[in-house]
Amino acid sequence: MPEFIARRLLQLIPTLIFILVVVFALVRLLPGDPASAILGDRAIDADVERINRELGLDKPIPVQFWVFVKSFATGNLGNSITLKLPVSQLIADRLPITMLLTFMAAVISLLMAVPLAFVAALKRDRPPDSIIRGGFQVGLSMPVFYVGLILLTIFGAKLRWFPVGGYGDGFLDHVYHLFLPAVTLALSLSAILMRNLRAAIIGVLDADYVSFAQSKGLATRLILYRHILRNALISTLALFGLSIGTLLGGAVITETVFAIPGAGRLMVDSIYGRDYPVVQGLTVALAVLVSVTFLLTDLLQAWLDPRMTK
Amino acid sequence: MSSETVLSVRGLTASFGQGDRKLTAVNGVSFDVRKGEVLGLVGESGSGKSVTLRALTRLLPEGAEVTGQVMWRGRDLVSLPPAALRQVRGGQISMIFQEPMTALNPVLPVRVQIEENLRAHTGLDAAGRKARSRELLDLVGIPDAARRLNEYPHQFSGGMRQRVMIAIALASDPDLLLADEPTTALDVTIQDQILNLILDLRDELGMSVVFVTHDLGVVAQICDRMAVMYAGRIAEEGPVADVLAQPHHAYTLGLLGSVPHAGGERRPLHSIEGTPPGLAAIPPGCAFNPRCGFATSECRQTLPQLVPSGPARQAACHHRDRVADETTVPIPRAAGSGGGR
Repeated sequence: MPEFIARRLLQLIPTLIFILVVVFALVRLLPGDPASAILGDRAIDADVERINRELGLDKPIPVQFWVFVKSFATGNLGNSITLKLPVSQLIADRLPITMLLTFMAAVISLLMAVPLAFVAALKRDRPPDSIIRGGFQVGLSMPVFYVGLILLTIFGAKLRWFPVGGYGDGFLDHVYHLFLPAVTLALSLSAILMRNLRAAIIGVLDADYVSFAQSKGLATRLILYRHILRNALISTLALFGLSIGTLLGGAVITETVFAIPGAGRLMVDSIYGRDYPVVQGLTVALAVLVSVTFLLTDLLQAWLDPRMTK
Repeated sequence: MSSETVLSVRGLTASFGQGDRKLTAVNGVSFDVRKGEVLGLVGESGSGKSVTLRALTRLLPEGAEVTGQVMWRGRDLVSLPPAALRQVRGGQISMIFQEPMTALNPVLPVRVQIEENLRAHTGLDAAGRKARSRELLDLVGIPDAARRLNEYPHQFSGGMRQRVMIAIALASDPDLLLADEPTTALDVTIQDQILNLILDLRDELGMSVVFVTHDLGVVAQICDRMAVMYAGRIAEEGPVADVLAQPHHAYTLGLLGSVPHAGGERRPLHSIEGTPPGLAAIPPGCAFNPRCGFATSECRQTLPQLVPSGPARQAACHHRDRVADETTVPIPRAAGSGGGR
């Protein structure tokens, strides 16, 4: 296992280099250039040249890339063009909000998916199964922003159980404010996880080792958790890890609907404002976050399934 | 060997599905298992031998219906409440499966899989369970037991894996071992070792064994008595040496003719024509009649009953006398083995 962790950590290095190359290239391939974004449509050539010199854009591409890599190594990502704040500070302020939102959504989706998948699998093709699958089908087919608006109207505006927007102060208040948005995000993910886990459980139910466990006279509960759930979770966990990336993408929409000042909102605003330093920094930060999530998923999976570290 | 009967099966029937689509895999099977004996259940694929074995402790998929009587220590396992049945399973009657790679949980170390059995059926504490687990691996001949306890099934070879499964099954000192083709997936030399291990353990622990197999060589090597199954019923039953020397059922005779023999002159194999009937299309009368060289109109109309046909023997064949007059065939030996112990 330690070997596996070390190997998996080493694999992170080429991934990070690749992320830097892609982000560097993408930002330079975007239509429009920073100078005209800063100066507006009526800029004169002398000013454009001055700005390009200030941003280092007049240098050869390899030099620019070196400066780019160095800025990430030192954490000095430059200043936001529109907000006039250091990019690193913006990311430090906004990204944790999105991370908390994503984390809450992930936990809520698991809490919904796992028990219901169990019920659906054990009552396969009988009414409870049909009801659960039908309900999730509705959840899955509705767009995130629409579900968000419905939840806001019912639990925010009508019942006043939850705030209709904002982020609040202090950790518990944050969790309280992020609850509805997290549920919104979790609905579609839990539908996918539930379907996957249900199929996995049904596959495991017929496995020989479940019969063998029964022939040992074990309690039903023990067979369910130790022998069935653990094996079924292995494939679902892989899907879960992959979904975290999608969840971060979904956070952009959710943060807009619920007026949460997270990284998703920052990203949208920065793209509209051609705020290249922020787009660049935030993209790398999100990419690293997703890579680390994949790493954690892999480690968790290896812990569940010892055959993987072979 | 005493002749005390430990398990008595009467009219055991197992069926799947409902109404018109109901399929009966095991139909009115009766047999006894005596203390310390190895009973072989023999038949082709689909003969119902494995379902019979699993029906004994109701270890069948959801939706299966089991009727009849399985008497064990004065209680009928067919009607025993689930909680009481769990005490019997693993504690008094254990089972080993054909394919240890799939029957052992791939994500749990061997130690956990042994200890959960001990936890369910014994009062041992953690230290006691650990010591007993090590002792069990020693018992089934796995070297370096202390270290191997923490390994996972995929780290064992095929033969060692089967030994692990036997160790798990024997953890709580069962009195009856149900073996579902435990050597079919192994190569012949390993098969021989595992068969001898099962026999040694039988002697050492004084347990009885019901051994399901399609391999007559294995039956000859380890079983005391055998019951031949065809289409969900017992075709004939008796002491192994007697049945193999002089079958009383045409099906057994056919099975013996299709076993290759080492040594002696080479003869063509006499395979039984056709295939066993599907559960949905069991022919009327004797189920074997379409494939039988002895079949008459009686065989096509009347189901033969299992009746005494000799000392300690029973057969369900209308022409058992004609079958018995056929030239006797040499007893086959286990493939690749030195022939018994």
